[in-house]
Amino acid sequence: MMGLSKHKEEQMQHVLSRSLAVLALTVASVTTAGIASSQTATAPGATVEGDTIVFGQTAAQSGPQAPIGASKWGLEAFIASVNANGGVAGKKLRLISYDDGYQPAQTTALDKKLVYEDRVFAIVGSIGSPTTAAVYKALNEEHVPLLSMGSGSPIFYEPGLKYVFPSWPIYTTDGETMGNYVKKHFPGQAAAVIYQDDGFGKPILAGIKKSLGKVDLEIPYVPSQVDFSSAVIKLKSSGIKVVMLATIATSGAQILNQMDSLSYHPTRILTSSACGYGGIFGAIKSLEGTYCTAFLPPPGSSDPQWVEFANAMQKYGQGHPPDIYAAWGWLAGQVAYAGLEKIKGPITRDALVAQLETLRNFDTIAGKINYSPERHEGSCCQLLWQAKGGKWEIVPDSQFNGSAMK
Amino acid sequence: MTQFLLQIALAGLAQGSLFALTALGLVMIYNASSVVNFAHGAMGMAATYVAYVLIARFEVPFALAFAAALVAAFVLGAVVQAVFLARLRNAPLLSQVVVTLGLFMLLEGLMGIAFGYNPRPMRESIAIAPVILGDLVLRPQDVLQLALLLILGVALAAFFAATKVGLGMRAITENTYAARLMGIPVGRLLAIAWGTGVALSAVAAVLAAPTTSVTPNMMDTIVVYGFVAAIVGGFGSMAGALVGGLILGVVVNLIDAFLAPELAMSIVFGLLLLVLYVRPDGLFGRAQVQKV
Repeated sequence: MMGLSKHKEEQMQHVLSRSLAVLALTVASVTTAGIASSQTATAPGATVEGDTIVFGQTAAQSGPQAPIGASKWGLEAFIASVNANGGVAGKKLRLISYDDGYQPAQTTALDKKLVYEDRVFAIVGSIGSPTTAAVYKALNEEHVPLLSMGSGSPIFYEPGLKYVFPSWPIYTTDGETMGNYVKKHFPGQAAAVIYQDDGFGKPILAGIKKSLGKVDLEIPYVPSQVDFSSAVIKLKSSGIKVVMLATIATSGAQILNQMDSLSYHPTRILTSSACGYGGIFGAIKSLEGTYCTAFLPPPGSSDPQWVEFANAMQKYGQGHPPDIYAAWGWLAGQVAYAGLEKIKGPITRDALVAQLETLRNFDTIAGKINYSPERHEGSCCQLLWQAKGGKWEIVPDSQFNGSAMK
Repeated sequence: MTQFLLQIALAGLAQGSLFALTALGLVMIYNASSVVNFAHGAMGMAATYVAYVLIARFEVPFALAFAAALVAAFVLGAVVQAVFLARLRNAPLLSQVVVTLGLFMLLEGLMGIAFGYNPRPMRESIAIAPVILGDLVLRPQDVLQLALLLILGVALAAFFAATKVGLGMRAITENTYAARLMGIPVGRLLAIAWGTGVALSAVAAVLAAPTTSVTPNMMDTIVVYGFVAAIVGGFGSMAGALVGGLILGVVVNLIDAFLAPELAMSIVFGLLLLVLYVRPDGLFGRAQVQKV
């Protein structure tokens, strides 16, 4: 392993141990399933007793969804910078992060391991809609806080989920941001949506339809799809002038590249999940002019929150770039910290929840976040970026406020 | 509507040529060694990174990078056969298949470590603008894919019919033991078969890369369709793999266009069951007859 960086070494060990981990997880899930079924209320670790508060996370580090797993590095950077400044509430922070490969069955087993074996205090910054959907109800019932998951799926914003604190704008806001802009700037033009046919793409489609009234063409797809030529031919032959894409990163790149190869150049608006990675300008050569929804400052921004994050990534990011996916992890750290910082007395899960529910207009890298005992809303707003000259620029007059707590 | 259908069919044939190239490689390896290579797509993907690095970092022309990827794929295939599978020659077939499964996971993981999972761009195989005929778009890369498939199909047929190496491979397929007794260098020919098979997977992967982008998972879906194409054609038949791939490409695109893209895989496997029910040995396969 000589000559490899520490990070590469860790990754190498990770890959080599993956198969064993899967086996171990199966055993762990069988053992803990029994434990879980016998638990009716709280899980172990409800009160922090040592000098360290341990967070748990699941995030894909392998497979097609691995780009979004870079959230882990943003969260690690946040934790390192907090610890470098003395910690929070007199305690240091530590993260245990597992690769679930974006497989809900893996997430379920890994979260049980995190809660019952690793005894983490809270699940922070876990990534993905289907993966989080597999565990959020159980965590809520076991009174384990689930903070700032990487998803805006509406199911996490339902009232009654006392231990669930989303931080992203709800996906319908993402869709409404696209729809509102199209309504205002491209009125009367034939518009279509390509959407991932699951809990991620469908709410975005619903948001678009809510603001536009109707769309001329809806095309669903599944993440394993690699050839989008039929979809692009259909869009082109239907005379569609505006295409909104509720897609993940790889599918978004494939669709835009197909459009270019078929000499089809409509107005294109991507969802934020499809355009947060570094290197997107190389991966999609026709990106210039494309819009993208966003709830974070564009990479390279002079926004003070972004600058603080980028500096921390340089210092503690273990060589990973300060991209949007890493910023998701940073945001998760900010939410957890905001609640912990306000706790007076013993650090318990219920105390954390109580303090989080007092946060109003709490400033994060994703803008203002509001929670109350009745509503865990997360970030209120989204806007649009546009690709110009090899970088993202904020589009004026594109902000949409989807908050019900205005 | 006619032009729309024609465009769908053209795109389907182009996509199908990738499935067919993948299937040809699978069949070649299976015919020679009786091993179903589950690492087939991953090995083609790994070779594609060679082309990617040469183009992105050293600005090597596409054709040269393509050739380098094929050489890398051939070496990878030959080495896997000579180093790993040759040692398992007398082990149960299942062990050999599991080795390919492990190799699939290992290669994807290693490429993920080396290059990350973000999509990386691959230059178009031909830097010529598409030809536009009314509403119809003819993409030069589609023509290249189909042409390459046909050329390679004919070349493989000639290789098996008229070359000593090809005839030797057929002899191994018929009876490895007898082939060895006849002085055929079984180990060397198996390595060549694996190298050529993986090179065919690399042809598909490099040609797919401008669309799929270069990622460790870029071949995951294509190789599944490659398996289906090979089975529909009659696993073991080169002509079947070629025709099966092209038919499958058109069928998948028609499903995408007129039915439900999210159900394409399920419908394709449903059709596969139907085809096998009617013709258990596939469209071009021969019934396996064993003397008793």
